[in-house]
Amino acid sequence: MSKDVAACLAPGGDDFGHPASPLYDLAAYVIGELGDNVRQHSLGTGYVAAQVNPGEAMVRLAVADNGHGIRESFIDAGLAWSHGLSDAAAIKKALEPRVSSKGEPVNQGVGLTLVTGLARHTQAWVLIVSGTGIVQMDPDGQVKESSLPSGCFYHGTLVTLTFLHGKLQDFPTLMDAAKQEAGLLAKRPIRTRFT
Amino acid sequence: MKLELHLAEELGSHLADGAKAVAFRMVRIDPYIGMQAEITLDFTGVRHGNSSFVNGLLTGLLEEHGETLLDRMTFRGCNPILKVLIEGAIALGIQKHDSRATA
Repeated sequence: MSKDVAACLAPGGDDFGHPASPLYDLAAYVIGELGDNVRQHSLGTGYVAAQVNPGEAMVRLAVADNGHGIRESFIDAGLAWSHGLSDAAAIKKALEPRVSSKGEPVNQGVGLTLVTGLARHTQAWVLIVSGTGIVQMDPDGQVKESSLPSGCFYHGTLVTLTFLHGKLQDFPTLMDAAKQEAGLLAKRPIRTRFT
Repeated sequence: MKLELHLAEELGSHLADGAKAVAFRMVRIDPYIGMQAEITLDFTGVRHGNSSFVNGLLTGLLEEHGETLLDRMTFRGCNPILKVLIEGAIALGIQKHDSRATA
């Protein structure tokens, strides 16, 4: 599914040399990771929407599900620290590296961390809603927690990202920076054999 | 003994399902580790992957067997994105292996 959405947003981008390849790779990655989260954690059905607006030079991606939400998935997994958390605090916790309700070996808990890392390095906007919680990140990387109005509740999780087309760059470099920032790369040389 | 796995043929050109990666690893790779096999993972034809998939495929292996496993592993046909993801998954596995050893 991620490749079909990416191909639709960035026609031709599956060719590495194509000018649309940064958008293709970013969209395929973000939708692939968020889709994986829906499959593994939500216990619901996922929905994807995406839009390229040439006028504004903006790209918008959204993945939503109608599952049990981030906080509930931590609680169901028996993670003791999750009990006192608000929905917004649970969302923020899910942004930290190696926090996952699924557990190893299936999940290393870096999906949402890297998606928001990519957003930070491209000065994108992020909005995450789950239960009563809202977490937003602005292009300066500032993260803000808030709540839905009293009496409102979102059953599931919604993640939206808005990228400025001009800020997209070579995807491997971007991914390397996001992994570095999250402390997910080696601190010393490792002899990996590529041929 | 040599084990050569062609990921695009077996799993497709876009690899984004972490659970599928773990299942593949358990059935197609794990049984050969103890046999001291030389393992080649051929990514030729794989256009895109994500961290969930590559971590599912490699992090647990490195966590369990440590860095010496890399002496008999080769990664073939990787594009620049896959290289970053593979290096990250390996680093995470080694980090976890080392912290296990010191715990």
